[in-house]
Amino acid sequence: MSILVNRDTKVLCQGITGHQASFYVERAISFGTRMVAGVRPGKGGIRHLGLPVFDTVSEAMNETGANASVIFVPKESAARAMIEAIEAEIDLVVCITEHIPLLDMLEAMSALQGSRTRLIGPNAPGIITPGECRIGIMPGEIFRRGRIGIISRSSTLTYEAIDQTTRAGLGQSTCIGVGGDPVHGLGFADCLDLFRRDPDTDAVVLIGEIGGSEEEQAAEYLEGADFGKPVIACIVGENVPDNTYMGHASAIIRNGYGTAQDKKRALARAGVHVVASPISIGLEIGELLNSPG
Amino acid sequence: MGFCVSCCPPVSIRFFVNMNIREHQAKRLLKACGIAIPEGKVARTPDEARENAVRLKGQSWMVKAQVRAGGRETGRMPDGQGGIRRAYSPDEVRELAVAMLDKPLVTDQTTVSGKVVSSLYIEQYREVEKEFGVSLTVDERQKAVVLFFGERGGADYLSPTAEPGSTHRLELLSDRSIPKERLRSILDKIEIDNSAADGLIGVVERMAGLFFEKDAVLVEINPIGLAGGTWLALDAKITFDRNALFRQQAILALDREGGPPEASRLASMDGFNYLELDGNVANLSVGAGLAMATMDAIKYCGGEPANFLDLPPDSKVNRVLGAIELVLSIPRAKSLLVNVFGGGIMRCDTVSDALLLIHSSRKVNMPMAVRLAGTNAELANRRLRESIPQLYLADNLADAARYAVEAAGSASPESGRQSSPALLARLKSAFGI
Repeated sequence: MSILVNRDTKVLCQGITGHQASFYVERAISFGTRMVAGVRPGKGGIRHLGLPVFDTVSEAMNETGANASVIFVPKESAARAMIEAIEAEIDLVVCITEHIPLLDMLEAMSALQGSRTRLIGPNAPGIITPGECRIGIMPGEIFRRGRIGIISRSSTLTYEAIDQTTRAGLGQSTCIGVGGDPVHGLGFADCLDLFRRDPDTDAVVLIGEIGGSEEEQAAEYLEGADFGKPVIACIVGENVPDNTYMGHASAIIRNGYGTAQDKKRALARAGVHVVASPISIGLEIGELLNSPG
Repeated sequence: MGFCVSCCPPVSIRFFVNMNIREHQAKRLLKACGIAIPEGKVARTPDEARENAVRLKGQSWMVKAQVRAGGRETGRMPDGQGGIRRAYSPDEVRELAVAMLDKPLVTDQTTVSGKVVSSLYIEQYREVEKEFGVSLTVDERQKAVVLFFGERGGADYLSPTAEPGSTHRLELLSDRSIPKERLRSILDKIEIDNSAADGLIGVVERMAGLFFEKDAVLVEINPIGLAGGTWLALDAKITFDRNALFRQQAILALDREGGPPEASRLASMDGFNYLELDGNVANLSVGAGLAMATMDAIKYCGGEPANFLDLPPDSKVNRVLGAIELVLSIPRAKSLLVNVFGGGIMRCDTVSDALLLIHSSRKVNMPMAVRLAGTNAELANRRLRESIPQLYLADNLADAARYAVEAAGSASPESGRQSSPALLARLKSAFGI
């Protein structure tokens, strides 16, 4: 078991003919992900990387049974691509594209509301269930099948955290990068709830950072939920000088919202073990979970 | 004006995507969509400031620093006064201009060194009967566009000290229209007569038009004053979404108008984010999250980072090379930590190629700890081991940070402000370092 994706997930790629998309789709196929189709308006009927290409998401779903989409469409039309996938009632959309205009994202979010689709991203590294399914751009070599769930905002720091848990002898059930943009789909709290219900996840690691409110929302969720599994968090960015922040934001940070300290405090209050430093993630998780009893 | 807790969401180092414009530019945009503003003119010299006052006529004038930051009124300039002042004669306008031009203005929204005032907006002073604050912005948590209306305009508007209940938050309707009836009932309660209420609703509708048409993330008029039945935008702040500038050529042009494009301490160098700091451990990472983690690791090991540098994952050898040269040139830097986790299209051999190029062209004396992991790490490490034996190739971030901090001689790991000696000892035994 795992959350959101597994060996039965059939994935289509929107924007498959692009350079980056081609690179990652090939890697996903060699990883063992069940890539079943590509979508590229105007190119329906061709084959690319051995996969059939369709004009629309719903055609691709009808023909191949795809139930997840990965979006590599350029920022100018990425939100349209998300809305198309949502309207086609696909289960999961993973949007890798970054720099999507905020107003476009608000439109995508209102399409998402009340739909059956779950959105990861945009500006996300994707999701992986080791040994079963990889959607997105995470490197494949660092994973190991196991029982730790990982939720993260950053891409490269996600790899660091995963690598440290693997080296600590602990594998992962599913790893999700929710994305670095201010408006995005699934958040920390949503992912925590999915992991809570997953019998094959024993503990969850949260990798957070300064800014935004993901960590505070996760803390709120955990305080109200009977979570029943250890949660460990690492929050980076406490050494970024305050005045690096732009405009109003700095005032907000100084008013006690969004700093690393606030996030750590909120999570600790909710019973989360907050690691001392990003260099000790693996060590502390290992000590916490491998200790007898 | 004051900072707004609820309307401006916290933005982290990775969300460096908003574009601010100056007050006079914002007012020009408001005027173009039919919102009344006091008469005003931009001045770049004291003489021009005086001349503007004469031409604008009137009894008194506002002299306003044109910097791209809020909090100007309560901010401080070297003479102890704020960035928005009132003058009672053209000669006084000139005097104020002498005191303000080319001087830094520090506000709660700038860095400690402030922003240098290179132009002033000279505006007719207008007496108003009532003052409010109104803004449209994106509530990222609710994923909606919201309207704020403050019964107290000016510095109190949306500030944490504002009287509870005096600020109203209204979500825009799903068709992007203003919740007119709710706004009208608020205005009713504070005894704004019908025709004035109609006028204000009209202003807010125009603000919303501008907001959506131009990809704004904040349109704020504070204060907005009622003068003889007309609503006047006394101050204005508009912020745009840089991610949408590809379809907003006119807004992009505003960024370059009257000086260089907006810059901050977080310079956007040749495709990467860079910030110089006070320490002596230079460092370089791919990705903002890992760059922040690298700084935290240096600090945890008792050192002080000399910079923040975040390379995007699609960087080619030339950009990596430029970034390494940049951090090597930081005068205080005593050691360098390169921390890259290859993944996606970032491959470690791109980084090792850049290091090889630098070392083949000249002698580099600075001690370097290099930690390469992920895609093609093995290949990259082998090349570095063979060609640059003096590099310290670390297998993990803890070891790399420890080496770089010790090589910089800034502190011993045990003396680090944030570190726990016991944990470091456990790390050492875990990693054999």
